[in-house]
Amino acid sequence: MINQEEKKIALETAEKLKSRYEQPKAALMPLLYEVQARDGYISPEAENEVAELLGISPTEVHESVTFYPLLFEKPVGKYHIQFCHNISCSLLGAEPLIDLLQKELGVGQGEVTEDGLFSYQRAECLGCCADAPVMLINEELFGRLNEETVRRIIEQIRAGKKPDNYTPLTETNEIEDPVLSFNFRVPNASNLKIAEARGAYKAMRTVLSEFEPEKIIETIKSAGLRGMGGAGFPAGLKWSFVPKDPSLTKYLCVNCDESEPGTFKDREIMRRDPHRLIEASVITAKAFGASRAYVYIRREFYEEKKIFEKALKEAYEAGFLGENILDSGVSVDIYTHPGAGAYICGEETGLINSIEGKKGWPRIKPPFPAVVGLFNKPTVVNNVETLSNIPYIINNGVEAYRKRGTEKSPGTKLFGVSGHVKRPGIYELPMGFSLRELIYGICGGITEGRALKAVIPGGSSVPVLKADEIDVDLDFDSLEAVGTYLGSGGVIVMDDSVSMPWVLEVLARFYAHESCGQCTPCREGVVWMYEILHRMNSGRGRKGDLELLLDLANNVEGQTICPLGAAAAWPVQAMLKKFPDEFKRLCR
Amino acid sequence: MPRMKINGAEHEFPDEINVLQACEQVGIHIPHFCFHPILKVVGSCRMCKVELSSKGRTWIDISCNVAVQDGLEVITDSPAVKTARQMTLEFLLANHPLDCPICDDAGECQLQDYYLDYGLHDSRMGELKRRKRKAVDIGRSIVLDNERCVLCSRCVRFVEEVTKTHELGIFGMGSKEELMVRPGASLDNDYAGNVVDLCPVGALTDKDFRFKRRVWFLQSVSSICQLCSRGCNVRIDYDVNPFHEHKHNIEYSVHRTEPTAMARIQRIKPRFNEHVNGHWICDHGRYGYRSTDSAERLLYPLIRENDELSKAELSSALKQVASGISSALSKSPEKVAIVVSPLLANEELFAVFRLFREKLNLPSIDHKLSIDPEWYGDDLLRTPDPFPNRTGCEWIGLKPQGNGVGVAELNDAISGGRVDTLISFLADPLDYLTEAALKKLKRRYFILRELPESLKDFTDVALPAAGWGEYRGTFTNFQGRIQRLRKAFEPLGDARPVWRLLIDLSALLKKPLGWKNMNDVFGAMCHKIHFFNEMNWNDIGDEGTTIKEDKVEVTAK
Repeated sequence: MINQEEKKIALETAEKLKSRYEQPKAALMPLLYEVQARDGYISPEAENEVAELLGISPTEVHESVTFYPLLFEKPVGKYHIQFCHNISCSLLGAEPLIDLLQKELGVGQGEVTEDGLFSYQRAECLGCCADAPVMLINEELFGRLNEETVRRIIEQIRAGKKPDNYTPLTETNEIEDPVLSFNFRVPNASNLKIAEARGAYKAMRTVLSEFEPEKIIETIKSAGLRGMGGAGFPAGLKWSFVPKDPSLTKYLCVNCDESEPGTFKDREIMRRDPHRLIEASVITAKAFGASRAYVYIRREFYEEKKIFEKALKEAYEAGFLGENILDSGVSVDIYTHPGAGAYICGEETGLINSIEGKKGWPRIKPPFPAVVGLFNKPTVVNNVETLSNIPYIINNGVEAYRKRGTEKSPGTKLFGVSGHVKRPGIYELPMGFSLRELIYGICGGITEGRALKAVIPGGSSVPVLKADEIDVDLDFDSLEAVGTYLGSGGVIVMDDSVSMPWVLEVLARFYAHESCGQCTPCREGVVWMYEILHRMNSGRGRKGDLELLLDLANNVEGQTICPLGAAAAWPVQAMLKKFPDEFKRLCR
Repeated sequence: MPRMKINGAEHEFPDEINVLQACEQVGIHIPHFCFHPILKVVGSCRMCKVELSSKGRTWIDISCNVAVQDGLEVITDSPAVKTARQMTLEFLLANHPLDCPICDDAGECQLQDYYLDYGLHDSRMGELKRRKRKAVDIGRSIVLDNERCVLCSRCVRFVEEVTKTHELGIFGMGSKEELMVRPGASLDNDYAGNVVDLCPVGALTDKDFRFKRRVWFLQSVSSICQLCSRGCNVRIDYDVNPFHEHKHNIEYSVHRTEPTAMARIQRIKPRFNEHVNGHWICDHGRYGYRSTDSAERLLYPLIRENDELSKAELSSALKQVASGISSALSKSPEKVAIVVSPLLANEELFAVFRLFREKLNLPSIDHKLSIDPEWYGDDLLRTPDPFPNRTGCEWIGLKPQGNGVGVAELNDAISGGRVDTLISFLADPLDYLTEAALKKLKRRYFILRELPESLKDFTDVALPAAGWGEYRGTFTNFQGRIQRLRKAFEPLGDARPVWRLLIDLSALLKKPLGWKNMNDVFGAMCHKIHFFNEMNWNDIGDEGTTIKEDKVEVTAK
């Protein structure tokens, strides 16, 4: 039972949270986390309490609680473990470690140990693939796991000790005149003083005092900055779709729901250079007339969210956020908003619905968010990395930005490399950099002296490249010319020990798990594809499976409300085309 | 008005509709599950795909979310469109249980129909089908089968947007998600039954109709609900063939005596009328049809003989009434009081008016006023007046005249001896008279569908009136809209519409009404009562008609 004191606290929290949003319902997710922290899970009683506090129907609350994997309907252990079983972690042995964990704990997925100490769930990509295999224990990330460290961590927790954490800081590179990683190798650059000494907020000052909104948009347009979340849509063009009417409220949503398997670039910006994103957000807000920005941060980025929120606090204290910033007449407030473990919320309209306190079901288009977005107001959703390019462009000019990269893919980009390379990490490289050079030069080649078999160059969705296809430049056009995409820049490298049907099953399992269930082809087709692959890999392949698989993929692609259907179909189409023999062997 | 080509032919369309509706307007049905004209467009079923071309670009898109626009070309039957629809169907059927042989929706299921139009494939689903909860009791009248559900969310949007009661949600995520009432809730709102009509498949079925009839055995007739003054447009689905009688009905039918041992009305469905009820009806109307086939129906005339009520021939019962009226009238026309219920059709009311007011000059004619205190109106369809034809009573003028006695003064008039004869039409006199007053009356003639036990001691003659579905006629709703009731089947036993009884009675009273059939009554009424303005039966149409402008209300949802 919830006591009166707890009720009072919940009421006060609700009031505080509600004030951040135009509609009280949007406080649903943060409020549910407060309740979950208080009770350990979200009981039906708590659902009703939250519904009442927000003035919404308990049905809506229950829909969200049952939709999001990180809202718990029943109690979890004092230490709740999320073990990643997605592709980068699986390539480095996640499955045997999960078996080991299960044996050590003596419980199955979703169960709590008898002493109430542990529970675990398999997790989809935790967004730190260079540290694979990884697990989250409550809010702490443990990377580079092996049998010994998993055992030790469990033992130490059982003994009431703070477990050792050997996760290294993600590897980065040094590049001349960096755009995005300028502060990555500087200790404590998330600290405002240090960041400011290194030029943070200079671009913001320039824009606030010298740039009209139109000029900001024109600058970004001529710089040719493209969306780095995966789609590559020109950022300046996106802003220009927002109606100019100054009487309309407009919103900026910053997409930090980084969950495309193999992708971990935004995370590095969030924790190593948060002020760059804050500065960029203010500039962007001015460009199209927003006065509020929401940074949607995936729940698994506990540490990153803390760092970012601390940076926000510093920025407010320095007068870089809030009312009338630096006497410019421009006011911008930035709030963080937590996700809850659903990949689909990285889709821009799924993200908007999620902020509004609904299930992260994407919206049908039209209308587009630039016209009808968050709270039905004109809204721009931009990726963290996209925005983080802006301060450089303002400070150094369009020409300097375009000096690197190609005509259609100017500038630099963060590439996250994971899998079977010697030096996985996050690397800023000029657009058009050679994929071969990235793997064999910067990342030091394939581990254990093995040969390269395949590379997924832009996050798990994009079509795979074979070992003999890696003489390609990493930019939007060059990759499209060879039938794949730059995507999010998450490069997943696989050596010749890897079974492609197995890789495809791992990927299909991910999309089947993350399909939001709203539209027919994705809800039914994506799971169906996974079931066929699972059966094939279990030795029960049949004649006709491959034809069916391909037909399903072709009819999911492009037939859905959002791009998740296509994202699930591309790997299937590409793998079947490029590694047909491995699949045929399984279907007899 | 945008001009747009559909399958090569150019048409003009209103601005506010989408391509799906535009196609329907020119007679091309676009298959769909989630789209509903009243509910928010969600575009989730992906069934309504068409091929669109504009400015040299051709693409496939869902037609429910594309507004009609100048220059757009729509192709509804290209091979690409057919493939897209076929695949959507295959996805929907992949985990569908295919339990059509035991599904109530078989025969009116969109999945079945579209499979015949676009599918006809052999299943390629070689995996184990997903199991979900079946036969879940989710409310007073609704059963949910989640394996059949296509997750179109129409029912969820209905309880969100129309009733605003929020009992239903789609819970969970992805392939595991399920439609369900939220924990602790029950789908019991006054409009819950509509979700069964909204459900394009057999996921939501009606307990009242479950396993009762195969829908292809049903015949239908357009009618008007009689359970409040809105007069919602409905369809009566009935079956008069005892061969189809299902054993589940036996318990119900054993209470029935001759002439038929079965219930004829099987269910009531809403009939769209944008002016009256839109797409919906309330549950009171939906499930309130049992009186027609009730075991309590009065099937034969009863007359009091030796202080006992006994079965009589219709002609002799009418004779008794006629002679009673004659002897009362020989003293004074004021001795006879006529009370009608606003349950009577316009034609029945007019027959009462013509015979008793115009021919016999009775001053004491009135319609019943009292409303059951349990009754309530709401913001959606239910009106505060549970009677279907109060407007008709007013228009035709069934009110006391001169020194006539109204219902409100009737008790006093009887105890004072001014009135000694009561003829009551479809109204239970105990609703407006005290037992003492009833007892004091010399002649008590009741025209009824059921004779309540409590009234038996106070009845001299009871004549059986035809029930809903057994006669045709018109009703005038609270908006002043005149709507038609059609006849589905013959009245049970000797029951007759009131106008028919009155034609016979008038002959016995030597005041013949001069009508042969309903058309004569209707014609005479339209000629006499200026509200009906010489209209003819066919003018009324299936949506009814309104001639009294000031009473017309805004379009219903």
